[in-house]
Order: sequence, then C-alpha cells, then structure tokens
Amino acid sequence: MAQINLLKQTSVSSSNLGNTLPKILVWVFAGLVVAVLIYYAWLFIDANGINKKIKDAQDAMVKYNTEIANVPRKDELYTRQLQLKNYNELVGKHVYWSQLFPALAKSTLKSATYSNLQLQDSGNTLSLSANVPTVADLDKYLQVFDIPEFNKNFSNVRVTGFNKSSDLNSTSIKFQLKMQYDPSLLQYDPSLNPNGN
Amino acid sequence: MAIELVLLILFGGLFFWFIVLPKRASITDLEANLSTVQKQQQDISGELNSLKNLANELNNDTADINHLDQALPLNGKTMTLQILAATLAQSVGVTIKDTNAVGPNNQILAGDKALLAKPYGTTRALQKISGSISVLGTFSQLEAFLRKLETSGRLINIGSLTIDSAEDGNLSLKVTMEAYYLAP
Repeated sequence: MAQINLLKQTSVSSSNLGNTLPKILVWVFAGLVVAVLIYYAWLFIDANGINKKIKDAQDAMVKYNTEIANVPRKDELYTRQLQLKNYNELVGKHVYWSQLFPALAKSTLKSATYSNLQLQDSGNTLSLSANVPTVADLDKYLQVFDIPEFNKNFSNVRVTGFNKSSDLNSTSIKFQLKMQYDPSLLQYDPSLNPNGN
Repeated sequence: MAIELVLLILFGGLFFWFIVLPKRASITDLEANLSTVQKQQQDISGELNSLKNLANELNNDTADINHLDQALPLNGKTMTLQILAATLAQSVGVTIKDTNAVGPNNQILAGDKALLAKPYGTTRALQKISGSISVLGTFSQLEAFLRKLETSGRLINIGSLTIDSAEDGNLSLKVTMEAYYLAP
C-alpha cells in the first residue's frame, strides 16, 4: 500500500512562505517610500506654484498702487467724497420751518390774531402770543387742541399768561401759550415745497 | 531581509514625519497667505476701478460739483452767507433790518499760500458759520423768505425763528441760522 507523506509537503510550503513574505513586505514598503517621495516632490512643486502666485499678486498690487497714486484729480476726489458725505448727513437733518405755518393756521380759531411767534428746534417747543375778542374765544381756541386731527401736530398746550387789554375802540384778551409741535412737520414735504431741494 | 525592511520603514517614517509633514504644513500656511494676498489684490483692484470711475464722473459732472460747492463750500467766507441772505431777501421784497454771520476764530479766509498751492492736498473738516438775520415784511413775504432760505442752494439750517408785529402793519422775522463749509 502506497504511503503519502503529507507532513513533508506542508513543511516545504511554509518554508516558501517564510522566504516570500519579507520580500513582499520589502516591496510594499519600498512602494510606500516611493509614493511618499513622489508626494513630497508634488508638494515641492505645489509650494513653488503657490509662491509664484503670491509674488504675481504682490506685483499686481504694487502696479495697482502705482496706478492709484497716478489717478488724475485723486486728492480732489477724496475731498469731494468727504463733501458729499457731509452734505448727505446735513440734508438728512435739514428742517423746513415754513411747513409748520399751514398746520398752525389750520389749528387756529378765525377770531385769533397772533402778535408773536417763537420756534426753536431744541425741545420742539413753540411759544406764541395772540389776541382773541373774549375769554370764551380763548376757551374755544384751546378746545381745538383736544381734537385728534389737530393735536397730532400740536400738543401739551400751556397758557403761560393772559390778560384783558382795552383801547379806545375795543377790548380783547391777550394770551401767551407754549405747546409742543410734532417734529415730523418739519421734515421735507414735496407737496409743500415744490421747488425745494 | 529583515534589516532592509526595518531600515526601509525607519527611513520612510522619518522622511514622512520630519520632511513631508512640515512641508505640507508650510503649504497650508502658503495657501492661507495666498488667499489673503489675492483678497487684498481684489480689493485694491476694485478700489482702483471705482477710483477711475469716480475720476471720470468728476470730469463729467461739473454741474453737480458746482451745486455741491454751493451747498457746502470749501471756504469759510462769512460774507458769502450774508450776501446770499440779502439776495434772497431782495427777491421776495422783505427789508433787512440786521444781519450777521460769524465763523470760527482765527480762520484764514484769504492768502493761504499752502492751501492755494494744493487746494485738495490738505485734510478738511466740517466747520460751521453761525448767524442771524432780521427782516420786515408781510406774513406772506416772510413765509416766502423763510422758504427761500430753507431751499436755497447753500445748506442753511434755521435754529430758531421769532415773528413779531412791527410798524405799519408789517411783521418782523428774526431767524438764527447755521451754514457749513469744509476747511482745513
């Protein structure tokens, strides 16, 4: 009966693997080292490319700066820009006192006549002196400011003094008032200033 | 073979750690630097273009420049404000009772050689002229005068106004005003 020596064959096969594996590993790691070297070379080229781009950009900036320095009327341009900026700010705060008169006239009793009017932009306060024929007219004059249509523009009306004055022909009540006006009345209204700026 | 393998691993590892990684880090820095420089380049390029466009506008918009100079002059001559107020008063028929205008103290109004040589070469700032004007007229004349002041080409801000009855059935109007200019 023939005998098969399985043990001998196994020992030969593992001996081959023992010789081959280090070689494979050497090749694999050699490949990795080569890949790392190629990667380094690529990084080196990439760095040079980036450095060149940086230099180009810096050169372009120098060129632009030279061009900026040579733009004609550059100094005047900066002055004009400052002028325009200040102009826009001032226009935004510009007030139109003349727009207050029509609103005040609407709120005034027909029988009242003004003898003094003072307006100040600080505190939005208006002071006036006026005459009415009787005390009842003064009461009517004041009642107007209890109506929403009128007190939206003029409010907090205070009588700071009143007295009866008489001359040869007639008597009248002279009174002084202080009130607050709505500051939006002074904002530019194109319908009231058709030729305004 | 084992020695070669160890040496290979050692060489590869050391090369990667001490040469490749620092190079990669330096490239990251370079890329960030490039990005910054390119942004600066774009900004300067944009500034140059807008400067060129503005310079063209400056050459073409002479009328607008004149309006701007009228509204906010580059000199602080107080008399021009008084002349303007007088002209406006005449145009609506009111009589001027009194007028004055005061600028900052020690302001050079003429003969500034350095400024004349380089009118736009110095830094300017907003300055103020304060003044007042009293006029006589009917209510409609005073209202028209006020409107002219408010809408004149020169920017004039009225701080306060007082209307009083005057002789001959007329009214008197007094306004305090401020005008502005840009000067060194």
